[in-house]
Amino acid sequence: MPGLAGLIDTEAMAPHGVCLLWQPELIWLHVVSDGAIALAYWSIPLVLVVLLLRRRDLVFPWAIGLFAAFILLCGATHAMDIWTLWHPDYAVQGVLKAVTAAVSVATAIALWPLLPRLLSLPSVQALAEANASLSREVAERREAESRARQSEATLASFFTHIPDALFIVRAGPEGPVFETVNPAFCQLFGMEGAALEGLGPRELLEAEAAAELVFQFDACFTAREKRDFETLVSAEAQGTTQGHGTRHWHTVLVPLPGPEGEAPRLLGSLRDVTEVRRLQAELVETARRATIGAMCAGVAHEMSQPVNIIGLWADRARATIAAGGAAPLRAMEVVLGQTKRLGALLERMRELARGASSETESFDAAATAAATVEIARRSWQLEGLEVALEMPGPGRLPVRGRAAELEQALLHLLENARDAVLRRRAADPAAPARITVSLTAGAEPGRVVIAVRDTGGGVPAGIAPSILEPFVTSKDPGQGTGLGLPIAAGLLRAMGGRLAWANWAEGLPEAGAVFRLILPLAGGGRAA
Amino acid sequence: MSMPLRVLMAEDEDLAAEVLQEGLVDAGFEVLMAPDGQAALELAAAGAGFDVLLTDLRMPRLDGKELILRLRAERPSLPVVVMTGFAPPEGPDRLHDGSGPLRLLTKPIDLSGLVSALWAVTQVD
Repeated sequence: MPGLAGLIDTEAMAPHGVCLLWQPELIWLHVVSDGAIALAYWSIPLVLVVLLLRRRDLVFPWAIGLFAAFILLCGATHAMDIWTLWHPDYAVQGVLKAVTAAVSVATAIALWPLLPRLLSLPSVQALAEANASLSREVAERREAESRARQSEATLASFFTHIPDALFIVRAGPEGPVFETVNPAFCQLFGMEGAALEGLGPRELLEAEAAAELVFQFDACFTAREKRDFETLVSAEAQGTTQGHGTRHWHTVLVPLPGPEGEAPRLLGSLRDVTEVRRLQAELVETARRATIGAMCAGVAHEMSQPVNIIGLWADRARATIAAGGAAPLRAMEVVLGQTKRLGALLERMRELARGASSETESFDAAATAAATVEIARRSWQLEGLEVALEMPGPGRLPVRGRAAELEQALLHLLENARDAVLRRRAADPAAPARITVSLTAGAEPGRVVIAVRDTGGGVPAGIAPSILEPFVTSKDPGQGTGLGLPIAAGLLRAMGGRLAWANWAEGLPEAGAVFRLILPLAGGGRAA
Repeated sequence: MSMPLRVLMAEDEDLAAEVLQEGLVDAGFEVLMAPDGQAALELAAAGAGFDVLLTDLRMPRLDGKELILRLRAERPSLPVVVMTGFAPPEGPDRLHDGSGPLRLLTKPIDLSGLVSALWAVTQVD
């Protein structure tokens, strides 16, 4: 076995050119071929290295580095082949080949497990498609963002210009505080928005109103449900610029959806409804006074006749007695008769007063309607008005509520019918003057209908759409308050019923209006 | 006093009409009775002579207001006394055109008050 020194000792070996017998054609063929291969092999790793340096984002850069080293070494073995043509440094050549072999094998081994991962890399086309899809998504998002911005601008404009005071409340460590408020809110408190934000109800309102608001905020935070309530606020105490005295505030609170973990917030709207409440109270008061006034006038008229007769006859009897005449028996009989008439009137008034109790009861709509129609018939007989009642037959029509209120509602309709008929007759004395009240049960299932039909020409088209609204009347100034129908409708609603109307027989002599009181039958229908 | 004053009385309540007639006759008036406005109008049309109209307001067939208007159409200066169960909110002005004297009495009526009213409306000329 030759030693290591023997391997390096080149004196004992011949250069590779000897094998080629120094034939210049063969020598040059090898030199040029190996030179070209070496140069080519060296140029490739150069490209790879430049690529590695310039593209830091390449996948598996170490594999490319390995490739570069493997090709560089392959080039070096070809260069060595040229060298050994003239110099027999076969040991150096062997070492170089061994290194090349090691790097080649390492590269080959490393490449196989890499194959599936390389195959799974997206192709350029796939990347282009992904890119296009991403671009579309980006465009869509931009559009959505623009829409969101626009919608936010609209909402912001609402927030700024709405006459209701709007606010956002945050649960703070010291209790709820106003986070954001709108100009209407600022106006209500007469303060700048910046000064208001961060304050709580306790800093802005008197103790009682503040406690109520804090209670409502807390309840809304806890229940996470919409709340709707009214509070009374003393205007002096809160120092607002919005009028004096006690104000009614109508507030609506809704929980705001927000990210998990953030302090919960509420959106609130606050409206000063003092005027509305005042007008409502006034409306009720006006209606009450109108009712009382009409009742007093009716009572005064009913009572004036018997009182008048009693007074005149008593006066006459006194004169007779004073003159020493016969005992005035007839006068006494007249006085007694008229006193009974007054007594009956008083009894009817007591019945009315009893009916005003707040408890509802089941009563016979047929009997009430009949009694009411009888009152109207007697009262208006003198005016030449015909008031007729059409009943479906014997038997009760039980409804729930208060008989006095049904009587009142029916009287309002009868009075309207009478006014319409009289007005028409004033213009046309030959016009029919008839009011027909008809009761039907079961035309609508489970309901009784009391229809008041007149020959007053019908509701004028101009006021037809709003006739059930307060203060709308077809009567002359001073003749009607415009409250009869709303009151009647309100009474019916309280009994679970409703009011409907229509004109009928238009263009015929008996043209008029028909108003229908529709009530639910109590206990499921007619009872014998 | 030469001639008694003649009163045309329109009143639909029989008992009131009866006692008023007796009282007025005792007070020296002559009384023509009519049970409603229409009857009073017919009496006047038939040529019945009277100096003053005494009338109720609410009456069947023809009410007091209409009766006054119709009679005043013929005799604009006819004196009138009205008896009513309720005072119309507009006052007596709405009852006539102001051409003749008119008094409004609300029930209950007392006879002496009625007599003075009748005298008052007829003393104008």
